[in-house]
Amino acid sequence: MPSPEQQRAAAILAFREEIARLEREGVALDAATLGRIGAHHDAELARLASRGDVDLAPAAARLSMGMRIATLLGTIALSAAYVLFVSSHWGGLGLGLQLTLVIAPPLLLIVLTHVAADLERSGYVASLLATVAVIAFAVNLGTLGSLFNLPDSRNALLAVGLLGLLLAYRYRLTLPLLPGIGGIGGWLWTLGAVPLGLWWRDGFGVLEPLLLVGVGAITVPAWTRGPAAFAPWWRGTGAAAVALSLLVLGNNGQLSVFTGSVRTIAVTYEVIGAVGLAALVAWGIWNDQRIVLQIGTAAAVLYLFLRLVDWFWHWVPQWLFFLIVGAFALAVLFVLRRLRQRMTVR
Amino acid sequence: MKWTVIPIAFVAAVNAVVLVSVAREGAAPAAFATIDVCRGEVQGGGTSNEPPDLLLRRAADSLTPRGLDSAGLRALGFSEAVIAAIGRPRDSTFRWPRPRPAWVLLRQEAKSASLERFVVVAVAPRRDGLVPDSTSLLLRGRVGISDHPFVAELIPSSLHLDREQSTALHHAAASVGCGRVGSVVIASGAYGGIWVQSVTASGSK
Repeated sequence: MPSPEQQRAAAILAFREEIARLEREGVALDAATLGRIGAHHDAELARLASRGDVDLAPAAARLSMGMRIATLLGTIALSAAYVLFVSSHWGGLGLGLQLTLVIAPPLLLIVLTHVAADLERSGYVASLLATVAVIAFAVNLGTLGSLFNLPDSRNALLAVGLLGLLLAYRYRLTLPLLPGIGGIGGWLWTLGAVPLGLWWRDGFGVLEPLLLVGVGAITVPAWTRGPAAFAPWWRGTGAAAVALSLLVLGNNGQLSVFTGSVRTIAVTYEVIGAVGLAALVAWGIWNDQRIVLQIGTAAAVLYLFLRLVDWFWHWVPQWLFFLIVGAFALAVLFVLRRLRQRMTVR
Repeated sequence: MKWTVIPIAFVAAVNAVVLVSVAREGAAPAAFATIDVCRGEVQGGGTSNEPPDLLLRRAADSLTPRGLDSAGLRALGFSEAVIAAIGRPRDSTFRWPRPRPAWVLLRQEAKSASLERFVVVAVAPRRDGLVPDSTSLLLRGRVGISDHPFVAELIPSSLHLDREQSTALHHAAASVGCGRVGSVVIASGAYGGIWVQSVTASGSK
């Protein structure tokens, strides 16, 4: 997801490319005005470049992609190294060393995140360290639970999620935002077990709370302040939660909070799913939220496919089934094309 | 600077809350139970990648524990319709509810029968309804119903062994050469905590 700074730089570069094309095609342009715009853009690009990680050429953008992949791989590798090191030496350590080994790493990694954020403005190293800090904190809490035979608790999810959000918002880092959203979302999801009188883990087996959490996550950017780059992640994870819960509930009524006929519940959620996913796509289109639109469209296509299987698989020959699926796909393409044309005209 | 301190303070505070509550439990154990330990119950430790644990193995249900009758199931939150369906023919749309949390009282089975396994003797929705003694353990669990009520899970399902405890039991398992490797004293805390207090390996004095 490009940052606002990157989007601004891309717009300036596209503008320059278009001006150069117009000049090649012989369109007369006011040189004085172009000069003033060029100077302003030079200053703006210099300002954006000084603020952080902005690619000013296609080659730099490709390198940035490589750096992002390296950051992700580094995060996974460092986390795995830490977990495997702890587990391979665990049995031979005394309690004091064990406690030090699980409590110290997240604290140390938070300090290192701060240092890295100060020294390296692109944020890649800080992002990596902050995410490993969140994972180390999750290992810390899980290990304390197993050391002292504590019953597992949903509050560990809340603690891990809060740390992820604290680091993400403090240092404007996207990667630790994801465990932050996951932890807080998971905690809220399991709260559905409270009124049902279930053990907290069984809350994951009820999907309506996930649906509500997803709707809540979509609205977070509207009522919180934070880096603009975070908004698509909140909306994207929210849309994914909404889509997942609607798709699953439409196929398995046993995962509903409601009791009664499983079939009736599933059919009800088939209807709610059709309306809900259409609303998600429409919301994404009208509010120009690309990530919500993409997730909503993918879920709607999957929903249609699942319904077609439900309705036709056992009743028609297989060749006819796939013919129907193809016809539906063409119909979806036609509808989306019409929508796009209408938006272009608007 | 303030914002840098907040994540550090947060991590430290969460750890402090856990350690203080553990220390408070450990300072005043409410009950001790001595149980026999079989080789198969000692897991991990030594050169293994797994942490050292004492597995709490349950024997197959041979009797209905106290608290799993109709009144007990009602107290656990199961509906009348579900309780009425136990042992009766049901229509195809019927589904058993999800397991519910409970406190579970375990006792080691008579040694002549199935050595070292635990049987569930009682189940209750609250801890104060059950009191552990020198032969029983009290811990959390989940109670489910599928044709008949049963304890679906013990929480935790195993107890941590420290380095010395693990080494003693592993050493006994290697030297004794038989199933039973020693006995273990398990302490129960006043607030629901449970831990291995000490071990006595076979052959040690």
